[in-house]
Amino acid sequence: MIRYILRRLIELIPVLFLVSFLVFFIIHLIPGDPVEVMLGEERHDQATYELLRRQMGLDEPIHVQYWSWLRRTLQGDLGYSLRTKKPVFDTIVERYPATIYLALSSLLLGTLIAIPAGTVAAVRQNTRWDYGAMGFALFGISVPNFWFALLLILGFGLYLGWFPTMGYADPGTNLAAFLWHLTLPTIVLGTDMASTVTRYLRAEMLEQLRLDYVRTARAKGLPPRLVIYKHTLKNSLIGATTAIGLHVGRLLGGSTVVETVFAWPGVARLVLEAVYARDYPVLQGAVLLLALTYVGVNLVVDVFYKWLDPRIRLR
Amino acid sequence: METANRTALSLLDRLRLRAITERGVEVLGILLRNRLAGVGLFIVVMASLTAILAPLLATHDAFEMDLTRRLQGPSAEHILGTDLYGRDLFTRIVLGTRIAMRVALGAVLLAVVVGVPLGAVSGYCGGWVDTVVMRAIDALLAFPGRLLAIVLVAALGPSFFTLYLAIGINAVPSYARVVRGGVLSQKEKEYVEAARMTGESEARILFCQILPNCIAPILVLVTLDFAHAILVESSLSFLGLGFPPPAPSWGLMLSEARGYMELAPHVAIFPGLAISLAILGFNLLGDGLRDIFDPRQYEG
Repeated sequence: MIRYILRRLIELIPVLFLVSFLVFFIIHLIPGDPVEVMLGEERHDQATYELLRRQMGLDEPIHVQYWSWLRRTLQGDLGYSLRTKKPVFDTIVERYPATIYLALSSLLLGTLIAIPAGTVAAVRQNTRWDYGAMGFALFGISVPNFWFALLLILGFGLYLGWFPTMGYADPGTNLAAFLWHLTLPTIVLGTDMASTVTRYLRAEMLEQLRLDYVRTARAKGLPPRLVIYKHTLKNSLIGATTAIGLHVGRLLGGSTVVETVFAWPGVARLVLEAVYARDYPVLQGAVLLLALTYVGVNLVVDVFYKWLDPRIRLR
Repeated sequence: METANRTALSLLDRLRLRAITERGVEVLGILLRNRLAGVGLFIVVMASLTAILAPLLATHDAFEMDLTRRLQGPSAEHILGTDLYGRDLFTRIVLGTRIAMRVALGAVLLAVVVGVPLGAVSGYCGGWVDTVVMRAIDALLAFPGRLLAIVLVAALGPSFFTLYLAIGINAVPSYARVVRGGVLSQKEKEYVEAARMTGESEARILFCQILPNCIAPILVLVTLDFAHAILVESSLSFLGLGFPPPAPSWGLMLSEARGYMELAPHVAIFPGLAISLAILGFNLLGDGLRDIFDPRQYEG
């Protein structure tokens, strides 16, 4: 197990290099001159421009810039936002909780839908239950999140007025308002996750139900319920962990469309705001942290998966 | 070159071509008997025809504004109503099909053109080539795809090529992996040995003998990736990162509808229906094809 984790960590090195290259080159790819953006509307002369350019290190050769950027980043210095002048790191930390709350509630809802739906669909294959669950899954896969979000806003927000159409409340100060704002975005992301996990669990379970151990358990007279819920479901869930884990990684990175539609102040919207405002330091910092989170979460999920199922062959 | 190719088309090749055609007809038959897959195929064909024939189907000018007719509901004149600027919604959705399908086609082609040879060479050569290619693919896979797409589009600006790249690059790993697995499972077979004995070059063996046998899972991936590409294109344009207004892109139309959907829900409903229907069609067809081919048997 420790060897497995070590090997996975070594394999991360090229990934981290790719991430760092990509993040670094954002600033060189984006059209427009970062110095001009920084100076903004202010009137300035050539000398100020040159000075700032030198201060930002943009007059150095590209590989020197890369190394100095990498050194600063590794020391935790992500620079300052061009827009708010606040440290980038603080800006991101401020925005992370909203994304995490939404991720956790969606994960909960998605799992609560997917496990019963996937189980019923497999156990009662080719019945109304199965068609219902698969119809739901097909709906979730085919309807884009942003449109589903708009429909929910239109129906439950504008027409019925049951839920707020957008916004956020701090759970520490007003928990009820927080949960009230959390509902619609959670339904969107929970449904999205549930649809893929349901399909995955159903397929996994159908496979398991065909295996010998199920026949043995049935033959020795175990009640069908026990066979299904204790034996088959448990083994199928191990397989479904991969599908769930994929969503954990994605949800923790934030959903740009859902955070945008509901004006949810998470990190994914921060990325978009930074794109719109051409706020390079924030964009770089946020992309870096989100990519690292994604890589980290996927590693944890893989290790967890491995720990659940010792049969998985070590390559 | 042309004649050389034609003479090179041996009896064996022609037999294989006929077998592939027959298999294709057979698959089409199964698809049509499977009701859901048949529906999927129908939607896909209709979407493709709409995209190709868009200028003929358009009933109005997609960009002509008529402020006296803004936000009208469906009527005989405007069958899906009009938008905020009085533009005909049906015409804009029809032209939007063209944008969505073109972006999806470009993105999927890019993924196939890059991913298939990478996977094929990786599986066929093995050794350090395999290690390097697969590590690179793993690295790409480890990066969050949507974030990559947003960053690329933001950095390079909206154009058809940028969208092909931003959406297609995320699909490259799946093609490389599936093709690699397929090549690995095929390369020890007898027909490969036979081809080698007839003196065919290694490249020809790989691309003309082995690859045609890995077509099935690629076809499944292509269909499902079309659905995914349409989703990502509409999401990007919804976020304002796709083509700028007044382009009739589905996502952009929904984004514009946000401000007044209570007044005119049809503006927020019809473009969303178009997107969902297109994605549904490709998903149904992809599921049907997967049931027929079961690509898991190829994965390494």
